Amino acid sequence: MKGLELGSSLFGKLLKRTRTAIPTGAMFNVGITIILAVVLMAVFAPLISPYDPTRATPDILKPPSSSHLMGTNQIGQDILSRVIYGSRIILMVVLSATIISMAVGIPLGIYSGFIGGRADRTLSMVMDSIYAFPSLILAIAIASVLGPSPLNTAISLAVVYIPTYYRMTRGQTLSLREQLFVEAARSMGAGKLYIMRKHILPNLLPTVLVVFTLSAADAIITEAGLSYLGLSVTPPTPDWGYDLRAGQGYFTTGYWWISFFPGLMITLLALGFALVGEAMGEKISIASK
Amino acid sequence: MSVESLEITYMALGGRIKAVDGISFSLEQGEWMTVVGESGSGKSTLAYAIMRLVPPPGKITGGKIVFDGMNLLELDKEKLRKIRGKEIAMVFQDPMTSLDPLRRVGDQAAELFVEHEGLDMEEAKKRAEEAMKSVRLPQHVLNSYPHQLSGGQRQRVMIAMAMSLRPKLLIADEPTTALDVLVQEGIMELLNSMKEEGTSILLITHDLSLAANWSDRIMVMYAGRLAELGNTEDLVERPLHPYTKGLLDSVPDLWSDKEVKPIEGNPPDMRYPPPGCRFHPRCPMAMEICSKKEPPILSIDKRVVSCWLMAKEGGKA
Repeated sequence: MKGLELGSSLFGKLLKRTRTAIPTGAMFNVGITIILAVVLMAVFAPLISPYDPTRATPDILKPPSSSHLMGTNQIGQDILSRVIYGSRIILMVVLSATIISMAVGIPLGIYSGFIGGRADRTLSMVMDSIYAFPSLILAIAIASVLGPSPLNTAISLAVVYIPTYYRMTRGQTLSLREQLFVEAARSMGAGKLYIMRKHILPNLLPTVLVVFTLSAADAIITEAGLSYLGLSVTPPTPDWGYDLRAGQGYFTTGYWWISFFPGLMITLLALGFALVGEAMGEKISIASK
Repeated sequence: MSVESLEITYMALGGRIKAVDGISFSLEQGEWMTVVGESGSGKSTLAYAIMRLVPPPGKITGGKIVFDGMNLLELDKEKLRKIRGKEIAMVFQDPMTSLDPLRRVGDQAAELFVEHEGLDMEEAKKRAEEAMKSVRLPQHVLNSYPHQLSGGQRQRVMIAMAMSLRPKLLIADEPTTALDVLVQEGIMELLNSMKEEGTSILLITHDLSLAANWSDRIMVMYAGRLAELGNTEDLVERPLHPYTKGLLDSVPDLWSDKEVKPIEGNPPDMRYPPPGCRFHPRCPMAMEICSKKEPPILSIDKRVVSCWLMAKEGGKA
């Protein structure tokens, strides 16, 4: 299944190697549990975080203890609270980036695949040239032109992932177009727009869902990378990528907890999406066999 | 409806292939005509052409298709869309894939009435119910997804949809090829009941016995050209064209010891059709002229035949 080959994702590669060993059901359950836990964390952040994540206190560089479960950082902020609040930024950015990518990539892909012709060739060329860039490099370039803000990060991620949705949608549309039920719909007087909306789009959804979860896993890593480089949020906003970077200087001197917990969260969340995506991809390819 | 010297060409990499070459015929209101031919004879392409649905790289390169006084080849897309389904309907070969797998049968059927008759969803659903009744399908079919139905049921659904708008012409492209014989009988009966209500039927098949049992007239196609056309009885009892004879001889008969005689050879490679009569390399009665000149299209009584043998026997072009 083309389009699912997110070759740049480390998790994708790792999982490909191990997926024969892990049953699909377990993969899906673990993945969805991680995602749901992070989503709940983001939604109920004000209720569950023990401290104000932005307030600096004199309790600096305290290791994990019963009062600060993940310790405190160099300006005395509670790391647990920052980790909890940080989930909001990353989820929002990745989600809005994905929505923009889908909103642009899917209609263009359907159009390209269904209508064909010169527009299709031009669009494919543009999309392929975007796709040719390493995603992180391209995202960095766009983000640094636009300036640091969560919205701009979302935009630059969206640009990076538009070709993924476009290529997948176009390919699927090409094969759906040849299905007899599309021909039959035409023979009953259905117009092109109607066929694209009512027959092509719904039949794309399973694949879109898989590509969404896999590219979300990838986007999480990229987002963290951008904020690590200071291209996303400005302090004191809590953000996993940014906090990872902030604690880096202290890591070698033994204050490991400042970077460790945000890093762990990034890894877990990306893993969650990758697991769900792989499990669903497996389901679909079994179903289509 | 009438078709006049229709020509359909596929622009393939190896050159142009004339899949349909100068076919003419007419079809009266309430008449059932069956087009018979081997694979590659252009019979399906002909059916798709009437719908203006010839798949690229195929193109209608000449001729006329007159329906209800309009030349279908000159209509704009919007008018064509209104005719498809409402005036001319089509039933396809493979019922397994001709319904959208993700949508309930009832919704797909109801939308026909919304689109073509401007009904609201509730009325349209009622009409869909009636349509399913008319092909003797139980009501629960409406709430089913295509995969929950058998092949025969799906083909009935397709026919119900095709019938429901009372089209003037129904084109059925090998509608029973994928189905078993009993189901086939039921489907043919449905088509016949449509015919009795005044719909013209154009059935495409390679099954000559099916054609002989049900249709008023039969057209035999060979390599894109018309071989013979005539009333079913005449054509079956007294075939004029050697190809028709060959086809009839190759049908096994359960009730007699008649020997089954296959037609020797294979249909020609359509990139390099043989000169003259396209059947002459396989024809047991071939004469010298057959390989040199294309035979004229002759009308003898109510029949049309394209063969030099008949020209010799005093047929008039």
